[in-house]
Amino acid sequence: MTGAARERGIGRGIATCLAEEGCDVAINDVGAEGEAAGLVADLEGLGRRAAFFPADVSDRAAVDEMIAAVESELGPIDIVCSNAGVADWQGFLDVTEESFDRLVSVNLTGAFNVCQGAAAAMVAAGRPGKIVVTSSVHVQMPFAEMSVYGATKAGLKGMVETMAIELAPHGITANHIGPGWVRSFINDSSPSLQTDEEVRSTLELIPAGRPADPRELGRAAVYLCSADGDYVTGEYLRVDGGFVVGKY
Amino acid sequence: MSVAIHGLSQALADAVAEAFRADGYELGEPADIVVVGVESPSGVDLLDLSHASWDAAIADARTAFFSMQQAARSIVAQGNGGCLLVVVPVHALRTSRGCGPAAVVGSFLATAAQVAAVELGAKGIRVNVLAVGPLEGEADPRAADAVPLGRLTRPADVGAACVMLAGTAAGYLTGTVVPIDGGYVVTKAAGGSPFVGA
Repeated sequence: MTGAARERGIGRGIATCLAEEGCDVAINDVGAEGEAAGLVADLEGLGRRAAFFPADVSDRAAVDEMIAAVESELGPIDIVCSNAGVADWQGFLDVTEESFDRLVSVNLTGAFNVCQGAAAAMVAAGRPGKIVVTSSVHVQMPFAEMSVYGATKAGLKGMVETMAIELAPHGITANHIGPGWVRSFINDSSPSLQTDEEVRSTLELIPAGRPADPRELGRAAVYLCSADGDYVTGEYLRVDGGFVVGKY
Repeated sequence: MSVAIHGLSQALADAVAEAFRADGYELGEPADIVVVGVESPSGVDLLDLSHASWDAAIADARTAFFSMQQAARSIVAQGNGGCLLVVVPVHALRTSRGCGPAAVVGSFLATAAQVAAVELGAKGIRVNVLAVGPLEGEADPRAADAVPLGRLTRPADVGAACVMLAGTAAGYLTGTVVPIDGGYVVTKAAGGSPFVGA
């Protein structure tokens, strides 16, 4: 479970829901050791095994080492959730190479590193598996000032759909979930969500009238990773309170 | 009106240039019509894709993104508006086995282009995407069985579509993703149905 340590993050919601359903969970993130330790303790409190594996997903060698360490400490990987992501807000004309490279290396190449590595481990072990990637409503709803972020999320859709086709013979499903607005740390720096008035006007755009709780993304991941989801692959499951309905 | 072309394969670049010339456009910088593309990455299953091949596909997308940005900056500086045409593989719209890098790069650039369209509309810049089907001379000829119009995409089809999208008849079109594929993306199945063997 990558990008899982941060409090209020989607990854923590997914990790917690999977643990509640009986999964032992490998927590990955960069930094955030204190928050990761708290999450590991919470998951152990649920009676599950959990451990923190810090690694930068954009670093292939680190991802390969992490996957080997997870298998060694917790056993074969049955589910991989690629969730680590970063965002920037820049106008298209002003996107910097530094920002482009940061977003693409984490959101897109990082997801490829993690999904390819985990899928290879599943195939080598001869076990079926589940891949769940956190994409975004940006897949179908491009936002101004987020050209690179939205592009990375659309790229994930292409990656997941292709993996669904290619990995099905190995008994591996691949799906992506599309969060709308979650009050996670990644949105704290959104320039359009800084004041109470901005938050209110954003909420008016969401039919459900509220942001998502990270656990609601977690329950979606549980569905896709459960036997109920065995025949679901290449799918995109929005969990956005109806945010994009009627707009896109 | 001046046209510049970046990143297309030689066959596509030649065909696009010829189509614009035939319609009376000049080629050269500074351009107010800029065609930016990526070559369709050769595909293997993502499970077997080498890191070098992934990096090469991402590097192509990066080059195309910044070519789009540079073109848009130049058009803004000229002050007369203009048009960006972004040429991607049709797998941006629907993927296939072995086409992961094309699907990733195509989807990436199509969405980047749509955001650019949103941001640049007020500056008089239109941005549209051409999703190009499997090309004659490159793709397996049997793929034509799955094309409603009965043949693979020719470079001249792409050239003609670029001229159409750059022209005044398309003056109110922006942010679109237009399949230039003879209908391939509609079905992708020989005979027009996955249940009809052909």
